[in-house]
Amino acid sequence: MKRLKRVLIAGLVLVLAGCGVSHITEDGVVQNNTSNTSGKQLIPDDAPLDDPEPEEDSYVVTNEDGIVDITVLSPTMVYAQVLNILMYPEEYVGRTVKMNGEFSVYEDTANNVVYFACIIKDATACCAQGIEFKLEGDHVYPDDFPAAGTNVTVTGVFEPYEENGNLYACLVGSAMEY
Amino acid sequence: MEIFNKLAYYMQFPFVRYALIVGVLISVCASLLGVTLVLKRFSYIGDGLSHVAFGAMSIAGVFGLTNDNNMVVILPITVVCAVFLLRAGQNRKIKGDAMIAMISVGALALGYLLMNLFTTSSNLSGDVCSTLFGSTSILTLKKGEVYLSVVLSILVVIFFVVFYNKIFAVTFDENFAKATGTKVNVYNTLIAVVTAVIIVLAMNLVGSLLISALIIFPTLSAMRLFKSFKSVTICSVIISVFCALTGILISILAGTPVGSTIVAVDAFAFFACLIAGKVGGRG
Repeated sequence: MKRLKRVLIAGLVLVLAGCGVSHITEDGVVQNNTSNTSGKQLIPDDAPLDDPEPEEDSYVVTNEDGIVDITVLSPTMVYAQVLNILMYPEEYVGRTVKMNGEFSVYEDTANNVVYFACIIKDATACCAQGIEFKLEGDHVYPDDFPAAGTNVTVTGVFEPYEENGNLYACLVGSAMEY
Repeated sequence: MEIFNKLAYYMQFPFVRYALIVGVLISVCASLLGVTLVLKRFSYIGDGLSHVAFGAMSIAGVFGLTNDNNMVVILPITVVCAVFLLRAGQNRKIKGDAMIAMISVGALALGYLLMNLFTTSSNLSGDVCSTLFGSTSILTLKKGEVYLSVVLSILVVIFFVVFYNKIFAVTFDENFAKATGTKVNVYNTLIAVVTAVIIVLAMNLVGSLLISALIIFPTLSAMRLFKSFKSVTICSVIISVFCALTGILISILAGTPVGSTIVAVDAFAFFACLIAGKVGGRG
């Protein structure tokens, strides 16, 4: 019995030592890695994109039309699903994503570029995640767009892109309803 | 019927399944140790150590450690503080409760101060709020984290089962246990280490501010219904698992914050047990 106890204690110590390289996600830390001041949605550096790890469980759940429809989920699920899209972008590349949230605009006056995003708040209303989108066709800002903060539904193809060495999430060829 | 269809749809998401698995495991571990901690008058240690973990996380952030490797800093600091509080706290001029309060508030303040001074995030208040209340962390777990939780939980349960008699002795009467040859300090240290590990893991489930609820509510609920150590422990585990599962399911179905929903269910269960105990003549 004493030997068994020693083995158990040794096992516990080894596992605890192993915690040092484990992934314990605090929501705040994920937020640190995924938001920036430009208003565009950064994809975390450690998110696999080019060389995805094979997963037994697919993170992608689609409706019968093959669309990743986030609009039918509860607020808690929506926020978690958007975070999961950003954590596992390789699983969503080329997929059509439909999401509902607040319309947000960021104007990069230095480069004369306007970015649009659909923002989703979490259940505690203290954090927000969002995905940038580019509308299909020619649209003039601000004439063809709603006011910032308007509730919009955006449907587009998930295509991350690289800019200044950073990877950003984006829904291209999007349609917007409001 | 619609609610079951919705639930079945949500269960297709791997992160929901992971959340349920880890939620159950953490609730089992927290309730097992909860009985000992409540009986040793250390109900508030969960709160104190979670604030220490919050402070340690800020220190890890200062050194540029991310959520992939910040456990190198968080776990040792939390373990050291747990050992210090559980072992040395009662033998010093500053007594246990005052020591917990001092370390808890000090770590929380230091953590927030460091986050303010060295943050790289554009949403500091959101980060802090999210860490304190654990809004969705449990729904963003990776598979590796689930495996880690499974292994740690199994070890905690084995630890509790194997050392059940020693834990029982140390919990109720340390002096008597010492007189009968039990190495009280060793077992108190082990309890402290396991407590720290569970609290660091549980930060994902309910956030820093609500961890105490996972430790004390199931135990206090079970104590309204049963009197023996074994009965209270078993009942506490059952209540804890039920509340965690119910809380997670309600939060994903109704869109409420996960941590506070679990704690609300725990509080409701406590009052239900209180009434049941009064009616059954045990209150």
